[in-house]
Amino acid sequence: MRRLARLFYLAVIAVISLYLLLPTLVVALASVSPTAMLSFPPSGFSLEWYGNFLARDEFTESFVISVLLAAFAALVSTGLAVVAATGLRRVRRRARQFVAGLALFPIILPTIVYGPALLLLSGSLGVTQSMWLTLLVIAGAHLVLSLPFAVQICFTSYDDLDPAMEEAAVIAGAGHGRVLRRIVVPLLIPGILASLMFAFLISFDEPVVSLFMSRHDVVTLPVRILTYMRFRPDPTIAAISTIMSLLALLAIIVVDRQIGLDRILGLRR
Amino acid sequence: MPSVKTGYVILLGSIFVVFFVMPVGFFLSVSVALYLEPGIFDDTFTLENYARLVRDDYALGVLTDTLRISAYVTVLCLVLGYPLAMFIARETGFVRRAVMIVTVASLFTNLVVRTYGWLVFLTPRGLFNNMLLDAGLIEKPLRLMFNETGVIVGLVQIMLPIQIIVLAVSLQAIDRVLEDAASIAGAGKVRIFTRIIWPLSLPGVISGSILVFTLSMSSFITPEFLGGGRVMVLGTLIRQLMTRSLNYPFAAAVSATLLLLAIAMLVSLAIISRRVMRHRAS
Repeated sequence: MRRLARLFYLAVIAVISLYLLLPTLVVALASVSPTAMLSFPPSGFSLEWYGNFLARDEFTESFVISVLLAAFAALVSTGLAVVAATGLRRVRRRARQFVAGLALFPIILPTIVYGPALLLLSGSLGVTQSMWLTLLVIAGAHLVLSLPFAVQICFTSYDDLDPAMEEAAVIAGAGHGRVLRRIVVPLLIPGILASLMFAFLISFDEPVVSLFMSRHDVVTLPVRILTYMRFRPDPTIAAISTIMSLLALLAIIVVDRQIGLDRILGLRR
Repeated sequence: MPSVKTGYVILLGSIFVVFFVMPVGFFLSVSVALYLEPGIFDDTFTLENYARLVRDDYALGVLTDTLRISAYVTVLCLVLGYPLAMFIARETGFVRRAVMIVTVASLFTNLVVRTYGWLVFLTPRGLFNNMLLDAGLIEKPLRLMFNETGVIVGLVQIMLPIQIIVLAVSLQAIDRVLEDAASIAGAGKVRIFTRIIWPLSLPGVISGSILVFTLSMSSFITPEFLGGGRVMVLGTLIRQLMTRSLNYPFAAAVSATLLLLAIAMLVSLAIISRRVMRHRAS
């Protein structure tokens, strides 16, 4: 009886896990299917759609735009967060709480409200006429969206440091800048990497603001996939989607190895 | 170095003002502007756009549909999320690690990619229908999407990882000694669950559910694509008003309402968690 209950529990866990994985698995299957119509078991194996992705300029162009936007969001938000975390000394609790609280606002704001808001103001200022200004607005919006997470990660990471390390360095005669460069920043490296990765993924995956702000020459990868989904759903987008999922999985495994998923999620082990 | 510090505050502040406060503030101000014709509005102050949201049966229907769909999604996420959270909180070893990676990986899989996956799976000539047809279980394809069912199936999968993580954190905080004590005192597994684990996990249940409800309420991509225009929620309504009817003031009023609902949700969450903290401390 007890073993039966245990088996039932494990079966429930397996079914729910499969449900979580299902869309990703289906997309992976579609990406290597030789035909546009899917069947199970698959009727064959082909890498044709992956070739298609590389052959079509519009996809590589979107890929480059997305990577550049994400790299910008990751570097700038992490940079700003690290400066805030180390600059606002431990004693200045209120200032730190204020920055942390301010950074929470963008989380409350749904992107379906943020996207139209950006579009309407940019439209009435004529910003959407120019490709570069449009890109700048999307970059700024992605920065605003990723900053809260960068701040959260960098602040936690700095709070985890043993204050004795800094004190010891100060007592040994190191100046402020030197303590920062030689002690604090090296100890923050895991946190900085996690922040870079989170911020990168938030920008890279963001579809709603980019959809509202898109123009014919500013189409990010998620928006490109959306337009294909609507007008010509062929498995080329399955190939791109699979590459994106694999990259996300890789990032998660790296974080798990480097910092531990338990720690990031707040699970004590 | 006061000048460096001032420079930093000015930089951060101007990013925040230019890319956040100004667009959102302008958008909210448009919600009380007078709509004249597609794309055009007047500065005259009016509450007509908000009144329409309550008076217009269509808009009111969209609002109640949104709340109903979000409620279904929240309940389903709780039912499906609890066992998995329990597993992550209590087990050890390889299988637990695998379940955790599956959860986090699905959280970080692009929303668009996941919606696309459901589209491929549920579409009339998609994988699921083809499997059933091949097995001879059905004669003609089932309608699994472009209706509320499809939207709910997709949204639950998208929100589930969030509920699982919040629940797992709160389940893990429960002291195992309590369960051991109850067990020694002769309580069965069911009794231990209903009297100890469930009540102590309530803070996690409530905050996870509020998060899932708030995010479902403001979802847009999944209802748009799995609903195929037949399921209207606040998100798809805003999109339609912004890009098709070009009624910006009404779009802004709907957005302001959605934002207000989201803030109300999160404020109640903050109040509840503060109560719980105080209760724990005393």
